[in-house]
Amino acid sequence: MKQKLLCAGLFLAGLFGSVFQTSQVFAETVLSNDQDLVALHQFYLEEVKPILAEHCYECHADDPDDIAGNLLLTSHAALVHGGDSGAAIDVDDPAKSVLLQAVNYDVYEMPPDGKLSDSQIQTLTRWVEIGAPFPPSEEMEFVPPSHSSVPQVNDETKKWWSFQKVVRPQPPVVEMKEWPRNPIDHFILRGLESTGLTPAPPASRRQLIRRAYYDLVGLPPTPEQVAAFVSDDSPQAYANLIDELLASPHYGEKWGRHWLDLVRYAETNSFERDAAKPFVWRYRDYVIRALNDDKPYDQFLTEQLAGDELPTPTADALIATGYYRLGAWDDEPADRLQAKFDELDDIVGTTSKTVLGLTVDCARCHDHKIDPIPQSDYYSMVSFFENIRRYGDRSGESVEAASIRKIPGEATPEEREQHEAKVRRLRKKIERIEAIAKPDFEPVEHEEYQYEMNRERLLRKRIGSVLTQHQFDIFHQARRELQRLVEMPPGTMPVLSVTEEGADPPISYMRIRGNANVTGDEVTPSFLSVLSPPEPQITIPEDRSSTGRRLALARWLSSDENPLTARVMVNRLWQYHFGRGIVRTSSDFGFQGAAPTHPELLDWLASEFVGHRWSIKAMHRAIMLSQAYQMSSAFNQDAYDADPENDLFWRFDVRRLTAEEIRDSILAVNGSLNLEQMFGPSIFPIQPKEVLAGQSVPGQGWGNSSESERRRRSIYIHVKRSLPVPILSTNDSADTDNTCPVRFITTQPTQALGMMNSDFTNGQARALARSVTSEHPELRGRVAEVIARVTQRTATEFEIDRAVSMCELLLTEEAMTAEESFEAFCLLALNLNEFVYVD
Amino acid sequence: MNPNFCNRTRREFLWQAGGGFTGLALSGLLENSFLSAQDRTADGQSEWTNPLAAKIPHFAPAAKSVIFLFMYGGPSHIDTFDYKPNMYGMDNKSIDVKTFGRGGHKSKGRIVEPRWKFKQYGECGKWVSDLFPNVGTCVDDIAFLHSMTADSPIHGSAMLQMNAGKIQSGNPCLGSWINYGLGSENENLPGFVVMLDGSGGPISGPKNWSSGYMPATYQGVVIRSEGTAILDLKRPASMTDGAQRKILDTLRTFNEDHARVHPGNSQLAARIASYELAYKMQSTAPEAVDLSQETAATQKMYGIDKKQTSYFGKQCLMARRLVERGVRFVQIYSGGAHNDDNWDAHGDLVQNHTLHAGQTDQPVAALLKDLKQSGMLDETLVVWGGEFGRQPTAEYAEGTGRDHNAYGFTMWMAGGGIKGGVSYGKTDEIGAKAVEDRLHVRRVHATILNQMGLDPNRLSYFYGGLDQRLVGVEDTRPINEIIA
Repeated sequence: MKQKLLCAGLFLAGLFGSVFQTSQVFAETVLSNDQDLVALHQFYLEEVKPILAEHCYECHADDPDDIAGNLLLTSHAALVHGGDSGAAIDVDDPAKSVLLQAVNYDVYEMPPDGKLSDSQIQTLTRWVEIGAPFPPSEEMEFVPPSHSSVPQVNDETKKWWSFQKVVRPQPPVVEMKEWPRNPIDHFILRGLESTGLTPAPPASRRQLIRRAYYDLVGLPPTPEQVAAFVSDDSPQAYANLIDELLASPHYGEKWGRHWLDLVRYAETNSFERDAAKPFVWRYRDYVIRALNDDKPYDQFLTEQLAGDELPTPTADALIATGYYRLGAWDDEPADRLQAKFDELDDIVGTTSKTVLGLTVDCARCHDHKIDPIPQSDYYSMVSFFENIRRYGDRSGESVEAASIRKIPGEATPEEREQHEAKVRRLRKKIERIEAIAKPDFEPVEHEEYQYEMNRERLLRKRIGSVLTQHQFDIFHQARRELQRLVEMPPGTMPVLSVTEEGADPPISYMRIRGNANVTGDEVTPSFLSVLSPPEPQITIPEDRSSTGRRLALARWLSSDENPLTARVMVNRLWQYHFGRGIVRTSSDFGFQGAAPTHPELLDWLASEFVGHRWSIKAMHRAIMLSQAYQMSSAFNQDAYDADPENDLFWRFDVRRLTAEEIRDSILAVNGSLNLEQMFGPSIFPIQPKEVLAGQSVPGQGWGNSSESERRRRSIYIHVKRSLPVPILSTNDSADTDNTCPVRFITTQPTQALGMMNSDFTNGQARALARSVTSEHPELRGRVAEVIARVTQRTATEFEIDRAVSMCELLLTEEAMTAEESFEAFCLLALNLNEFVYVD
Repeated sequence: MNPNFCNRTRREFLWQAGGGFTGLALSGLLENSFLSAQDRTADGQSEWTNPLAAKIPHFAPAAKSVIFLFMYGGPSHIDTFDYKPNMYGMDNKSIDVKTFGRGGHKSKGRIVEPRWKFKQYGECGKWVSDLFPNVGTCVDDIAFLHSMTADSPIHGSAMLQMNAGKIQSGNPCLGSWINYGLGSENENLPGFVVMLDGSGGPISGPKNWSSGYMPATYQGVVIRSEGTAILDLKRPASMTDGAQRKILDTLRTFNEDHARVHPGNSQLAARIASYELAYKMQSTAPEAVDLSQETAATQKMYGIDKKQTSYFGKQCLMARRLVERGVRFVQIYSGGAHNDDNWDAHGDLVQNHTLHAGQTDQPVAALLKDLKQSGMLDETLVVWGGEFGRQPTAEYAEGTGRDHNAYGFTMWMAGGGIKGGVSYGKTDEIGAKAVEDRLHVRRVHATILNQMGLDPNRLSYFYGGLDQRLVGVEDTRPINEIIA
């Protein structure tokens, strides 16, 4: 230290013709005289300080509570201590000081509102090169910013409830001994009794079957199904119903959607082109099948995170890794490296919130401000994923290279050869016609031509100039045929999946303030330190196609010992049944998350879950067979006054149907829902032309589906990031770009407009009218049938009178035909609160 | 533990963070109205509180509404408002200059000198190109921002940034933020309105008016000057107003019966009320955009009588009518679809800019003058600009096409408490990059929020474990230098 400062002093001597004292430290080590001090004062006060004061202090000195990047520029010690980006001055090599890099707009650009003049930069450079001395009178006392406000990983913070191993609690003793049906009820009833509240009476049979149908398959029961259940006196009737619904193939279609919300499932990339992700629907099908098969949750997670790294990856396991390909992807990013780290951040954020209920991604730019998750933990987690090849580079071909695997199947070599020959022929045909058009391209169009999706348009506009209609038709048909062939080669199944760069991972670094271009310390794969985890056991797979890191992460996440995974998942299952989690913030089990209203119940459920080999269906059974689940939604003034938010579950909360349930139910009650067709490429319901008009090329990326396909369940609707389907988006379907743990339930006039006026609901109302007309010759009978289908209960005479008199008024006063007036009633029925709310 | 949950009460926080909250619960996210709103509606009987009902701003606002004239595609600043006299005579000269556009990073280029002459206008003597002879007459009301910068010179990400603050996908737009912060003054109209160019929507379509991670309540609503103003606003053709009224009245009796046996559920009451609101909207929205109520002189002033200016003129006049009725945020796109259908002049600069400036110059000037003569300009902030500007050099070996430029470009603001007749910031002498008083897109967003009475560094929405802000994590100053 002495040596360096002495050097600085000598350097100064060259500058000012004398040696002088620079700072308190310096004063003790180097001889000085007054003349030197004066020169320093002058240099600092007249040249350096004005620059700092005018251009830097606003963010780096003036407001002690808001210091940008935690960097103070008010003393030598502060500069050496530095901020988030490390030391501002490099005492060993002043020329390499971050401060000088910043003012030279090298990596950082400071000050941000305009580069300093060359002479100002020169002044600061001279100052830094002599060691950035401050005259003692100008120097502010430096107190290193304390990190006490940021939780550290220590014995205290490790004690947080959700970080503790799950210990199975004993169900508590209760007074109303006859009430509980299973241990869940002991926990619930204990809470109610300790507050002096009584649980609501049981729901009626009708309410129960409706609730169970919607909760498990997302569809209403038919009036016949309701009647059969209501009249079934067997004590097993309800349990049988649950088993029947759990065995239904439509269970996966309902519960798959919950998972798709969490992984922000969408089928296109967003950004300018918003191109479709090839074969992404296989992932959706995988999720539906996995849930239908009751695939253990630990396996479900492992396959998605590292199916390709399993010792013998199945087709399912490879498809599951499509998980990594679901996010938004900019095919033309301004900064490729930054985009790569944005994509990794998306994966870390989605994975940590979904699986662990922790916002690890909040530690990207700095240590987590609320939870004990240091920035190094974030980059350690990134390192598990860092070797993943980006979804693509730019073109569709690059996506195919990076993200499509071809799984071999059964086909003869002849079949394959035939197929390839066909593909070659079609390619040639297409290229020949493109070659006619290309010389006519503007320079811009050559650029556009790079993107597959533009080609058709570029050629179409040349019909009548360089191309004939006939040539274009040949081109168009050949392209469609080619697409079909490429998607379905004989004996191979192309799947969207993860791939890595190879077995040797890159060295991973921290990225200062989240800036991908500024590396910090090296990091290696490790799990969240606050959980006192084991070391990752990383084994490179035999084929050396990847690092094996993701499998190590998956094994830890899905381990029986992980304190969070099971808790977080059972809490979600509870939430999807009861409308809210035991922890209301179901993706945040950290310090700012909500406390569990029933912590012991949560742990009991978590231990059951692991004990039942992570069977999700076993948990449905346990939850739905509880008395708590079978309570009615009946109001109780005293209970309401004591517990308006129903923290204690004194009744079952009424819930609104989800967007998908609303659309599916509309189709179900008029008998047109196509339930037979499951799986496969997504469907395209008719988009209103007003919606398509919002696109830069109306209709681009939106296909046609047959009439019967358009009646399929909503989970099969193509999820195009830039073109949501109005009936789903206005009814609060999940955002496509962010993980969605809890759906909004908004009530807006635009929903009412859509339900009353849209072509869709009016068309479906007419279909509903038609579907009851033949069975029931009388209007009264028709009305009763519609009410029964829509509400799953018997209409009262009073309601029928009311409906009939409305129809009559429409007939006499509004000149409607009898048919139209009944259709109007059917439209009304689809708008009933009772239709879209479940008790 | 942090006791105040990012400046919200714990209860507010819980609602937002996933306690099965409803649109109602979101009605009072700001300040203390939250709990009282809950209490009033929780009985299931009292009046529904519209989540877009007017809220109290952070401080007294200068402006009540914003009209954002979005010049999609990126107008060339040096051909419009950023006068570069030294460039004349430099045409085709090869120079060293760093550029970054669709064609990637380049360090050399062939100058395309500005293709229009500039004239001085107004008392401030602002130089404006011959593309905007009408806007030129308004310069004394305009503050020009010549040192704009953005993070991306690529349409997709740059559009997202100009509209929603970040170059990534999935964030709420400026209009969503304003409605989240302030609500609407007229609950019979949407608070965030978007009007598209006649040639189509911008790339990424509805992403440009999405509410991202906020509820759908705050997303933009597309309004049209022709046909049905708003999606599903019109009754089916076979249904008369009287018929619809009878259906709604009957629906209401059914729903009230249902609500009576479901006390303690405010959502049911809210849904009943929303049908009445929707019914009212069917008449208020068409009225708001019914230009036949305007005099012939007014229509002429906006250029509605001429083919070239008719479309954009109608949009501008509709915008005035909407802000008059309390709509908070109106965005009008000039340019749609691809290439020369918008300001994206990669090919023939003269043809492209002549077209788009020709369609917009008179209507924009008319809007400013009309607002001014009625006194509304004082409380209406008008913003003009694209997602970036254009390079001083040619994109290709031949021709006048310019590539994108996010290193420096021009936007302007007028009204709503903004100084007139001023210019702030500078690009270098060929307009390649901003060099003096550089402004990031965030600063424009901060200024807009500030003029609307919202502190850009306080207006936050808790999502994903973070207090999300339109202007990002670092504190961002409004451009105080242009604020009156």
